[in-house]
Amino acid sequence: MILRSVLYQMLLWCIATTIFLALLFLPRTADYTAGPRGMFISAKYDYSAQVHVQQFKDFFKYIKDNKGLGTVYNGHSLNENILRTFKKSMLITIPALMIGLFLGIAKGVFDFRIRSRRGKLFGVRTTRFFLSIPDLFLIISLQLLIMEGYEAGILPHIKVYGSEEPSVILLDIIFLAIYPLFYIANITYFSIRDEQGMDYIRTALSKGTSSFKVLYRHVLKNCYVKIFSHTNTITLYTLSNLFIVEYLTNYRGAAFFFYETLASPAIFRTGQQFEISLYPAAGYIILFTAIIFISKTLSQIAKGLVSPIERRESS
Amino acid sequence: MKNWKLWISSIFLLVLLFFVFAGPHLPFVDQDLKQTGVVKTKEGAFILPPIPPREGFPLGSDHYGVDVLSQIIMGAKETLTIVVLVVFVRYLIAIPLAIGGFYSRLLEVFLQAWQQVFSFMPPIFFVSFFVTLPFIFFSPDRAMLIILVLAVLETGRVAEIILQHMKETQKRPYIEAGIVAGGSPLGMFKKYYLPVVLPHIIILIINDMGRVLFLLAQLGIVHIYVTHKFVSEESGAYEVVNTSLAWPTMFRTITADIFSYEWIPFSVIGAIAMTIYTFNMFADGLQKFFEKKYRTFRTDL
Repeated sequence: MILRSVLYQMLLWCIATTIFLALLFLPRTADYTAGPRGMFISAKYDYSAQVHVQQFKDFFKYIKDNKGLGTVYNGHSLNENILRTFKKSMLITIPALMIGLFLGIAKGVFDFRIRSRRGKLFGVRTTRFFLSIPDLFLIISLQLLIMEGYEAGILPHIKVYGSEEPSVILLDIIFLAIYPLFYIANITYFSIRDEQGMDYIRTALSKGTSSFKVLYRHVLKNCYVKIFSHTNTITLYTLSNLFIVEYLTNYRGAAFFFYETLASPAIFRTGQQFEISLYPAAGYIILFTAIIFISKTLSQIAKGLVSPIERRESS
Repeated sequence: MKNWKLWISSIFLLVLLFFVFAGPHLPFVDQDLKQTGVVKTKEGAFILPPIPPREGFPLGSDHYGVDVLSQIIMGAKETLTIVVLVVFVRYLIAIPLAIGGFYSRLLEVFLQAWQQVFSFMPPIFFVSFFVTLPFIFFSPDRAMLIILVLAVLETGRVAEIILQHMKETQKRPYIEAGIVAGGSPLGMFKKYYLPVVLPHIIILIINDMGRVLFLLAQLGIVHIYVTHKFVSEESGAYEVVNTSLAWPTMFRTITADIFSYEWIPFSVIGAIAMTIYTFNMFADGLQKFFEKKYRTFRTDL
């Protein structure tokens, strides 16, 4: 059962990567119409399937010839370079996702337990509030607060900008974890709420199990299926957000370089062709989609391990 | 009065609309967005732009001495127009697709495939792919094409949510009652499905407006704007400049501004955050309102 869904995801991964690469290898040559002295009038673009296929062929030939993606200026192979930046990105992404997932579940349980007691303002209301404002606002505010705090003499000097600083890595993890945390907390809260009044809870309670135990042993196990089906959403969001966070903190990770390989020119001359560095971009695409594939697979496996219902079905 | 979220967010929304339509005519808004070269304080000191928040510049000025508050108010219309267009196009495709998927197995498979493939693509990657393609970059209809790309990006997700909602509705006992009573498929759709699905779609649309605005803000940070123009330079090269007033374009120099001219990015992100919060709160309030009206309980998120 699990194996089948993993194979299915793998197939999807291949299809998605192929589509991505096909988009990347779209021929990018434009025909310029120039006026006197090279004045820019317009540019026309003709799609040619032949060139498109040729780009693909070149790519695979290139990989075969170079046994990798070739070298960059500093003598390192491009493979190493991509892997190094990718590892840097994962250093902030994976902890952020883990924190988001586990603290998110904890926050959801907390929200549920506090829902009708004193202090409920810190419960689901806070979660909804943080979900409703963009995390970009929180990121910028936090950066400003840290800097203002230092100027006012309250905070020690914390670097908020840089590529190797431990403080930046820590901050980036926090920035990336904000949205997943509250998203998962919200999902957890509502899936616990939806379980209320089910027969199994009544049975467990009537046997004298404490409500705390019922929540953790019985209710949460049933909620995990719902929660884990949202891991893809948060992974996708976090990877997308990686662009922003790396850019805002000048953290030289994979998203930063991937953006640089794709960035559109700010200045062009008539007749200039828009070459982008295809091969590094291709490398990054394969790695990023691989992360999504892995997260999908892990959530499938986790679902199968945790859920009492799925376990029964598979045996 | 119990649904305070709906009330407060409605007021916020009205204020927002007021600024969009009447804002440019307010006395404290500089309609021409004129550039101020230098400001002399009472003590006789001179301040060069960017001018920090002070008298005459409630939120400070940008690098050209243009009042930030005026820019935000003048840009509101354009920003919200883009947001509304993206959402409109998205739902124009998604609603027929979802309803079609409900009745036709083939469309459902297509929809699922679409959604699955797109679930491998982080949105910002996807958009930055497209904007550099020459046929979009040079196209006179670039803005429209980018709006289309932004719309298609999440069409699959939206259609899938609507389809799932319809399927959940199908399981409810009252639908069976309708079939037993001899409702025709069209009649069933109009009288049994639509009243439940429509409020859901309205809430989704409002939530999506917040999402789109957020995505536009993120794209603004990595220098992807919906509109741009080519201006010739002395050297004969052409510079790609952005003539739009939309809010995300004010993030142009954010990495530099945040250290010394923090009022520029902070005002813009503040305006965007307020708007998104208003949309989200309004959607929450509406949901509560519909739940009460149709006595549906909340089964989805």
